[in-house]
Amino acid sequence: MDAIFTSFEMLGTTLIVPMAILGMIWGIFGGALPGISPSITMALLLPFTYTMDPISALVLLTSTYVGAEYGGSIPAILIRTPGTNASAATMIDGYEMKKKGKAGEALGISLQASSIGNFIGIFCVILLTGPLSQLALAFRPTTYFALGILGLSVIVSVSEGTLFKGLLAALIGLIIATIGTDPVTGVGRFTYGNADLLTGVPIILVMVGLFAVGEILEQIATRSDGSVVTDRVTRLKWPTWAIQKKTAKANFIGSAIGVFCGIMPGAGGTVASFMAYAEARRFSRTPQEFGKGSTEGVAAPEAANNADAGVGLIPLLSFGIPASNSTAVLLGGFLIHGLIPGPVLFSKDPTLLYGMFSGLLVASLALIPAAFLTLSASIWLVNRPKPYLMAFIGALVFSGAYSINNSVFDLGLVLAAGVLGFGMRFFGMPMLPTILGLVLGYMIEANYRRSLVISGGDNSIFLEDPIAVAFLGFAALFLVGSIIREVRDRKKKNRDMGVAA
Amino acid sequence: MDRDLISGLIGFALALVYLFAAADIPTSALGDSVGAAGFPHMLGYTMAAVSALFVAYRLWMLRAGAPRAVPSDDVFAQPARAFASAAGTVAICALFILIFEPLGYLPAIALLILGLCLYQGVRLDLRLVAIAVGGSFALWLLFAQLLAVRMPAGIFGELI
Repeated sequence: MDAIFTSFEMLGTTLIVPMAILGMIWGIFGGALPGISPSITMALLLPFTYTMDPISALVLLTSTYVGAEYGGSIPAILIRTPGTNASAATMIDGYEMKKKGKAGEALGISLQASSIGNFIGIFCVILLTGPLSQLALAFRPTTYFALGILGLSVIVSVSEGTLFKGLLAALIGLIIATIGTDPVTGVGRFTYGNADLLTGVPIILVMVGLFAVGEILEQIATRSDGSVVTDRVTRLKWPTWAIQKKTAKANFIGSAIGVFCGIMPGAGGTVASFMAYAEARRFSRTPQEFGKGSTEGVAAPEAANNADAGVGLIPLLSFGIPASNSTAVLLGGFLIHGLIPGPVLFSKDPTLLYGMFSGLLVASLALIPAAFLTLSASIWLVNRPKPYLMAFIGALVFSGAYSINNSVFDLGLVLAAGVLGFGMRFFGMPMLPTILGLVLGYMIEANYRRSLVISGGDNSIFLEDPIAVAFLGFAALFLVGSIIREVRDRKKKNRDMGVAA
Repeated sequence: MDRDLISGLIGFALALVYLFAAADIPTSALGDSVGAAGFPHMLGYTMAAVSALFVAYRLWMLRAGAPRAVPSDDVFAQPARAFASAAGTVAICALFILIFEPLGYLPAIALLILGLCLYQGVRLDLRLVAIAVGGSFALWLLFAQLLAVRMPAGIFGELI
């Protein structure tokens, strides 16, 4: 409790408030740009956070995360192009409202629903992160090894594409993590005499390369459809009392589903928003309006994806395992400052995390005025020609990458990671397992070997730790479940094809 | 050709290269029972096995009449065009990296913006040049002045 009060005191003595507002605005702009996901928006900020104090850096990143989830709804409503994947469900009725000349109302409903979802999500994070992280105090090297394997298995199982692709993507990340000095003996591995590689491949540079440079390469290879916002007089309108009453149930349903999906590993905001849309229609008094400009159809998915974004922080803050691309980038923000999220951080420096929570609350409050003030700028940004935008993002990425170590070698690493990201997009491979493999590689190897040092090389030590056994059992269950699901889907597909023929 | 099959084959080739490279990892006198090369070997063999299984699975699926794997994204509907376009962008970025320190931050970034815009079909005119120079100056203000990052002065900086 003291930590919570301390964190509120910090609002006046640290840069939490300006960073929350800045992050929120940057997030809205990033989310509003189609093709620029919240994770890319956050990754672009990572180099700037090096020189900041940890709380300011973390508040900036998490506020960006929250802002981007709302920002995605702007182009979804105005030009029928979702700024983020999670805002695709908002597009269905949001754009229909826009066609009826109600774009301002749709944006207002989206804003209110986002705020409600945000607050509920953050409330859950504050409530659950502490107790969950206490569980991890009982962890030993064997448990951490098993936790790493479980984290990877979960993400591999729920990632897009087949299980094979998820596994290959995770292995790529684990392989990159082996570059550098060996964690136990200090022997250099795969460095080939290059001093820049002795400390390993910086996770931040790989993230920026995979997400941002990979996106630039893909976007430049794509022809733009040239959609622009023609309605320049759009003004955001806060929903009237009647609309607020009508959308209250949809907001509640959306937030509840967002919380549920946020807790479920890998479900993500996109699943949450479409589930919320379907459930809101099922429980609506006017389901016939869905798809034709329903206010509830805008509210439910927005509340869901914002609640999901907040709750998605729980696995990262409790156990140090990111459950999405955005939280993986946030983990990068922690690592930059030598912080490892999890129980140790919680007991050692709780004010840091509570400072982050209060920053999130400030950001959620700031969302409402920021959305009103930035709408014109967002529309201007959405209308910028893609070539200029991509060129500037490229310049920003390389400037940011250089600023970390003042090293040209880092620029090469970022470009190489971008090429890898482009290749993975081409082959339809998920990127989160790669990032997670890279992040967890050290933890898995170091704890595996530490365990064996303790046991004198006896692998049965993993069976003597009940939590580790449970984690490894769950990991196996996830993988087996994923195989069963794939086989079932394949059979269903074959059956459908047979019927169609 | 089936893209899943190709990704499996590439994965297998990568695993072999990785295992080959892992064979050169020196042994430390302080080594534990696993050793510095132990984990890379495990990863290499696992990757080879997963890739081989993936290739076998795809071949079996194709024989059973499954459609070829194509990305759901339209972006890569014309792979040759997409790869050629990406290769051009990579070449521009690689050139930028080469000239970054010798030429200095301001001109190198301006040239990067100019090059990427021209490559995407923007017409070369005064407006584009002004955007590239102005953008480069804005980023220099942000990084070199506001964030105090020491950016390379390059040949022009030395002349001044």
